[in-house]
Amino acid sequence: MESALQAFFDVAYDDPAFRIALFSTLVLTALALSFGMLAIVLRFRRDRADARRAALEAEWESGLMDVLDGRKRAEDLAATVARADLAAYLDLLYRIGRHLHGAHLDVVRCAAAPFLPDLVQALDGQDAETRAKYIQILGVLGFDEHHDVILRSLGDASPLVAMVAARALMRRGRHAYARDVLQRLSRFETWSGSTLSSLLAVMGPGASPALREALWDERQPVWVRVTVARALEKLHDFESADLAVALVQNDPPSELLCASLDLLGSIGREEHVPLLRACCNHADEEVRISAISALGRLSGNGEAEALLRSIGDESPWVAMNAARSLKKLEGGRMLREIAASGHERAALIEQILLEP
Amino acid sequence: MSALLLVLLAVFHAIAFAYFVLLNGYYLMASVFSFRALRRYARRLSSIDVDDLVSTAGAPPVTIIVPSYNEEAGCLEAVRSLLSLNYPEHEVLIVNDGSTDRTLEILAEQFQLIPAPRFPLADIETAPVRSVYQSRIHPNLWVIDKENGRRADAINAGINYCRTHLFCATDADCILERDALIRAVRPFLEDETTIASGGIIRVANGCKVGNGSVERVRLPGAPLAKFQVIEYFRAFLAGRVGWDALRIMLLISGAFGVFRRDLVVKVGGYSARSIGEDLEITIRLHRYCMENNIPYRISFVPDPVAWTEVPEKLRVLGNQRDRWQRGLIDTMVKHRAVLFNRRYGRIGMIAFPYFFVLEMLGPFIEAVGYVVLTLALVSGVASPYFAAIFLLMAIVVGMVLSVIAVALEELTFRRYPRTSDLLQLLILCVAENLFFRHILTYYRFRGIVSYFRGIDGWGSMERAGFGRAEGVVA
Repeated sequence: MESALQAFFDVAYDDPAFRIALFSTLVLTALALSFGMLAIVLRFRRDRADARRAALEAEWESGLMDVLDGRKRAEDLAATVARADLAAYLDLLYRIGRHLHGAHLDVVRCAAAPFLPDLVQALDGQDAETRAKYIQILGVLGFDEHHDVILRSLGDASPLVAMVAARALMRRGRHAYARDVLQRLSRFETWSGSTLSSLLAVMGPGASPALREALWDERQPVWVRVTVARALEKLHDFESADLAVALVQNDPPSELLCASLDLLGSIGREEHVPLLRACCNHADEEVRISAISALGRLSGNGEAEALLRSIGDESPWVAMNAARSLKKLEGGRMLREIAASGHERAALIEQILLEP
Repeated sequence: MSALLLVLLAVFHAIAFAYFVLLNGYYLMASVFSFRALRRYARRLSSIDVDDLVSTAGAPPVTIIVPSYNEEAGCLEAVRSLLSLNYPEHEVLIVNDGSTDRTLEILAEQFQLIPAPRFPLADIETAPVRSVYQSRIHPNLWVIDKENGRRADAINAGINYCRTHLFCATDADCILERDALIRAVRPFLEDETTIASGGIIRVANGCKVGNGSVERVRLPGAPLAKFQVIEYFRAFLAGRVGWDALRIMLLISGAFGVFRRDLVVKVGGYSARSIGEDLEITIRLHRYCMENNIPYRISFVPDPVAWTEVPEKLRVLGNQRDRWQRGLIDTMVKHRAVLFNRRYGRIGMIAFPYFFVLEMLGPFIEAVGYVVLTLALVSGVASPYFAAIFLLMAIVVGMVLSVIAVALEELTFRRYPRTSDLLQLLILCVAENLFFRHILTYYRFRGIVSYFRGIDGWGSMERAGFGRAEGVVA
């Protein structure tokens, strides 16, 4: 034992490589212990912070109920909030406020109002995530007084902040900002077109004139025009029909052609049927799908033959849409006959017949 | 000892040392990137309103494809969890892959399945489909009954019947949290070039499961499952978050991933005979997009959670890791053209070499290392003190990585609310590196041997079901 220990110390003190290995092991052990301690400290700190925050929130929520019931003034509630707890207070109000409308939301806004100027001042110098959070709060609790700040944030260097600002502007009834958002839409090119068009549509029919301008504007990138067309479709904007016809006739890129056909399917009239019929034989599968769907929505029984032909289309997606259109058109009688005849798409037709 | 043998020993030592430095350096680097990415993500989360996201009509419909083979024990909870997801529009497609137990009967009884016509919209080749059923009480629940193929074959059958732009592949032994799908779909909303995204997998053993959701999170009772909790932390919180930050996501876990249907169809679906189908499809998607100059993004999102049962018995764990290793080798060999190929950018130069050298060859190097070390010690070539300090250092480095993973969890999601669970996890970081990792090395080495012996079976997995003490049994 003694000799082994002696040998160990000989190696430990004489061999530099061993000393490095030993030192590294000790450093790594210290590192492991430090991280372990950090995890434990984090746990206790966060438990304590969570407990304190829960207690504060319970107190504020109760105060807010009093304000909503008229037993207390919003200013009095705000006066109970320490500056250090401002972020937690506003976060709570935001979480409550986003579910409220009308007079109730106004009360929550009053409770937040004394602190919002500080929030605006603090915007500069914060990281992107914090700025986004602040803009989100302003969008719900202080939009009317601070819409200029939110508008400015559309041009924020951070895409996250810009998107949160756009989201704050794209709310029900805020159509006055449609042009501002459309001007900055290129910031959100990577976003899903479907999400953007839904957000634009949320602004309401008041946004339609601005959307129609953007749809007709050839300087706009194709994806913007497609997004706008989809928003108009969701808004059922009947005034866009002539625009959609003109676009289809101009043979635009296929994405825009599809969006225009879908728009036409939503708001078009029977006089547009020949135009749609012509697109049913387009080389692009997506265009055929849009044309078939639109045809089913607009046409009368006269178009059943065209739809029947499309059930035999090489693309099952076109066939499925043609079958759905035909079902809408004549209630399924023809489809049942085709299914019974042993048509190659019989299984698909049966599926469509059973769909609600 | 001959000079040749000494040279061989020296060369192997150099290889083993390089492997040690590379492996741990890589993990440490990934942990640093994960730390930064997770901190940022945690802050970012507060500016993302999930309810708002759900209410936005732009969230695309998703089909959830669940391959099921002999899942009678856990399929009900899994289906309930899928039906109760907080998502605007989703269909659930259970693909009964020729189960020999009562999986189909249980589903039929519980969800009132009736035969219903449904036309396939893609034609990826699969084992024959026998019947398609729809639930009378949940019209968005469908069951496709087919002859037995493999997991990949079952997912392909689901893809054929998928009618939505996106599909989510998960397992019948997984429970998705209510917001998991919308969180996993978020990358598709924020970046139109996203073609796939994955979420975190957590260990369900020990947790209380009811009504299709995890109601109370606790550490498992079985030591083997406890070790896997840390292993999953390391793999997801320290590994994949780091990969995502570096944009080198080479693996979307089969247990929970969302994909663009059209692209998966274009690449021919999952490789039906593959047993590492999740890694294989992810690499194929990377290759397809890069070879065709398609801008794309494959993302990992750390907060959508899928809870899964992990093996609690050594034999089952051994079978699982053996299979994973064979799947890994099979995929690496199939896509070897990617290795150090600049055409594939970071994937070819960083991610694929990591899997190839450190994950595929690693168990071989480690296993041979133990043998060589023993030989060197017995023959008196190596100093026992150096050998001891090297082993100790390896254990301590492993400990550091495990503790970092636990600290990352504590810094961000804190899913284990009891302080006693945290303390246990920290203690387990030591024990894990003394025993568990060596056991895994053995099973992975066995996987290499199995691969070269031509064994390609999947192996049967019987499950006890969620919330039961035994967990997974063989």
